[in-house]
Amino acid sequence: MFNKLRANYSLSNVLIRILFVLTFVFCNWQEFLGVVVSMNGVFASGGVAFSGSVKLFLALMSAALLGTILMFVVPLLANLFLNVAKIYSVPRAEYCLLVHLFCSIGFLICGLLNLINLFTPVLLVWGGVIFPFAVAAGCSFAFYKVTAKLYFNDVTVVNYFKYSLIAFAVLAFLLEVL
Amino acid sequence: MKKFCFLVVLILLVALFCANGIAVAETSDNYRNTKAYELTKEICAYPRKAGIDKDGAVQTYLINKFNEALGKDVAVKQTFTYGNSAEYCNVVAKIDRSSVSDKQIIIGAHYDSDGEGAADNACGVAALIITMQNFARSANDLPCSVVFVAFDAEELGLLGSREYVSQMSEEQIENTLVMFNMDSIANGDNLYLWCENKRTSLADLIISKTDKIVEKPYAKGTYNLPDFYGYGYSETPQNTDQTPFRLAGIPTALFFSGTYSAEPWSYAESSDVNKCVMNTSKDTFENLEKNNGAEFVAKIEATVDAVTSSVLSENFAEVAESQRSQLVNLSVWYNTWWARLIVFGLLIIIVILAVLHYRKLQKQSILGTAEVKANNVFSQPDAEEIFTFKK
Repeated sequence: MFNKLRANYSLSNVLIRILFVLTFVFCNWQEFLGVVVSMNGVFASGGVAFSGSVKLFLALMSAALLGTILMFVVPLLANLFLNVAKIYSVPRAEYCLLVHLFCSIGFLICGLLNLINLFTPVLLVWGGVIFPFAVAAGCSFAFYKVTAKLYFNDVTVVNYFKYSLIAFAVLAFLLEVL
Repeated sequence: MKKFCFLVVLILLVALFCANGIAVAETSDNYRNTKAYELTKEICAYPRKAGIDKDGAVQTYLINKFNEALGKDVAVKQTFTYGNSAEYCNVVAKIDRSSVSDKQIIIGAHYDSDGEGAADNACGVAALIITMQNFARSANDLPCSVVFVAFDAEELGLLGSREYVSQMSEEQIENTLVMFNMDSIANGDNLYLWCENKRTSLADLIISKTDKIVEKPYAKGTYNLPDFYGYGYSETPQNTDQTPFRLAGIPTALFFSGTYSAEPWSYAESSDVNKCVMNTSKDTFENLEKNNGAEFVAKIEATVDAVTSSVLSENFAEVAESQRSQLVNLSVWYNTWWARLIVFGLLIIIVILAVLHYRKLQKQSILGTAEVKANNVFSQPDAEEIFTFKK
């Protein structure tokens, strides 16, 4: 199965992109549902209110829409990273596919951890900050190890490591700390 | 003979049906003679859009009702302005028991509404007035002073309760044992009590007084976005008047009705969509009675009973005193900044370790072989770009 997928780039590309959107929805549905429920309260005063299944549908669709937008944005960011790092020896389409794949794995793990949030608001608040960071750190490390082994030798990996660290630190600070 | 038997059975069935019908009719008529029914109907007759109208009719009505319930002229208006200089007004009355204790409890319900507001929140105000009447009769048994507040402008963003809390001194906040809030108590499927999203002795005490109230399922319908009030998370019951009190550190108990089983992971007023009328023009007394019959009166009375019997119970003061120590620490557990600080610390540790690793990689690269690598994940890639080495 895995070897078949490795032999078929186009199919892998489509499947991983679908996986990316689905796992993004799985990871973020709680936040989107919260926003839809709150918005519903505002709309209700204007005489428009949604029933339960419609709220969930709206939340899932909103998450899927943002996931789809992100699916196109992520390769742009990956290319920007490679350009800034002046790394030209990497097959970019494949590299972007790996970015999607590792993001999907991260969203999946984070989504599973977010299910714990359903048990107590304490975990909702602390987990909402710590879980994404822990998963992002783990997945970033795994992604670096895989790509470093695939595309870089013992000389070029130094530059790759430096820029990977900077990218991770900046993104983690912007998205998880602020 | 068969025909005779059939006739007898038929007559018996008709008689039973009529008797049952009469019994049902009697039961359904009885609730119309209750104080809860009459008060709710009376309150619904007043326009209650937030803010003081030309003659302040509803405020005058509430003052009269408060004074009548307490048997003396003690009700006062707490007027305030907000934003566009519109004037709003809380109505406040107090049973003073300062001779017994410095402590007080606050019981509140908002009286403003978007439309007729029968369920949200004429029923709550009716419960407030009946509770006041009960406490006035048992004034000598009260363990502390009781303040009754009918809040204005809840629908505009809890303006009345925010104003009330902002006017409280630190001493008053410290001496307030519990704030009870009654909001939308009668139209939903279940009657809920919400204190802390965890088990507390106050909730246990209140629940033990009645079998008609259940505690809100912990952490059900909670989301980490959007955080309107600074709890660190959001859930529907935050959107009412106990929130400013709770954020000031006062233990609170909210009575509200609804269901957490009709919608996936969310709150709804009812599993019947036609009964979900909160903040709509369908929230009328006619619909309240049509949809709920005697049930809405039963919910009002259950709320009143729960508050009255809890406060008048022997161990109330002790339980209420201990409630403050059982509050979840909002500034720690519901404050994302502490968690973010930890993440920031972890990030710094990761960066330091990574810098050390970077230096190790630099040293290794000096003696490196710079072996050419041409690995690819895909054995048969069809993307031309994969083999395009850009400059």
